[in-house]
Amino acid sequence: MTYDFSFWAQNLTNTGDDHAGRNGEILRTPQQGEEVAQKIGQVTMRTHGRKVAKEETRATLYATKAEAVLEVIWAQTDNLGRKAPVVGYSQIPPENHFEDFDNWAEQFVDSLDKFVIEIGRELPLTAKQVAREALSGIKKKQKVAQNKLKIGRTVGASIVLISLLAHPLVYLKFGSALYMTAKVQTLLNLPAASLLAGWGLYTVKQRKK
Amino acid sequence: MHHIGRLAIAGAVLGTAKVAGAVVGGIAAYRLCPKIARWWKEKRIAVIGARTTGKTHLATFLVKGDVPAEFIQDALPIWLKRPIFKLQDLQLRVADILDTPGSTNFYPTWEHNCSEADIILYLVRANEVFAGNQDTMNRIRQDVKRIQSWLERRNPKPLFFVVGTFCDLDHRFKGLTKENFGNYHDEFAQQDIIKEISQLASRENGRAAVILGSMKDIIGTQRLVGDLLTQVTL
Repeated sequence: MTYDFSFWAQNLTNTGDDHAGRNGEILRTPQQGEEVAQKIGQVTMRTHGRKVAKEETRATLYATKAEAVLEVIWAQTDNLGRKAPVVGYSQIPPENHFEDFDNWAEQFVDSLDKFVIEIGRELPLTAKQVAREALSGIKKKQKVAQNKLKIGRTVGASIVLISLLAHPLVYLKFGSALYMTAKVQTLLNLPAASLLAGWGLYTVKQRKK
Repeated sequence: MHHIGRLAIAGAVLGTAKVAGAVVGGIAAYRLCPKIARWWKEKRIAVIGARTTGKTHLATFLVKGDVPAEFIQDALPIWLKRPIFKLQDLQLRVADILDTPGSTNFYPTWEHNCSEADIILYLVRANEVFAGNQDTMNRIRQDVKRIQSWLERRNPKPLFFVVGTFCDLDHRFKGLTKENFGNYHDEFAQQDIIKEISQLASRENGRAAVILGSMKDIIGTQRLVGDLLTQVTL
């Protein structure tokens, strides 16, 4: 699977054009720069960053379910003495391509390194390490989400099974008179109904994301 | 409440030049006026402007009541949700602050923020405007053209503030007193380029409110933010 690796950095002189790149190519036109910045903005405006720091070097990861933005800050400064970050964007390997993850993260850091060299800067080893560490956060998040889903499915299936079994059990144990009462019917159907409602809400929420 | 705010700001905008002399002493005034809290409450604020105009410095000060601990180029838009403006003993909750990188590459994000904001703070380096720096002028004109096209679609228009920063780099600023700051402010507001930006203000407001100062230190930043907040009470 191929991914879009786009990068952006502000000019160190704070004059002239800023730097943008995509898949190993430096982008020269303002429109191309805007495209990269727009993709970055759309992700960071929707998510909270997660920081990984080692001394004065740090990487902040912003990730939705499908896209990730990584900001790396190290000792590099501009003409005003301000730290000069470099930002990278890429799509995240989908859950069914989970085995691609390590390869993707390595490609991300390599492409970042190449972009930094192309714009005349140097990415120190520590910066690459924190970048890798920040990206691994996605893998952890995906694993936790998958585990939650598995647990949820197991619990849900158990509830449905129990509530289905409960009907004949109640009928056999207490007889049809009690079984037919509205209260008992509600009590028996409630777990399955709640589960279905919960499932519906979860699906809507996922679609909105 | 919104209506009261609109009337208040309209008054503020029309009266900006006249009251410019009072701007230096604006800090004391905002504490006394409960109108300010009502007006700013739940507003969405977009902070825009070219590179190195002090956007993040201002946004950070509005939220933390302090200047940033370290200085970093803006490479990402920052969305501060439900922050509380902190200015000495004053605390105001606003809906959110959208701080956008100054690079022209981020115009799409500017557009998004300008289309959502109730209040737009457009920062310019006042020292460069006074010096007639051609690059600054070109950049402002480029910004104005873009902003104008985005705001044309909006009805009602958001409130627009021009915030002139880096006055400390203008040699005349240091010697200013409360009495002659008004002339200095008027001179800035009368610059052709500032008048051009002012056209972005909504029609009923006539022109944008112009705020001027320095964020070199906490006192200067407090004064600038105090001036910004008190615009609505004038």
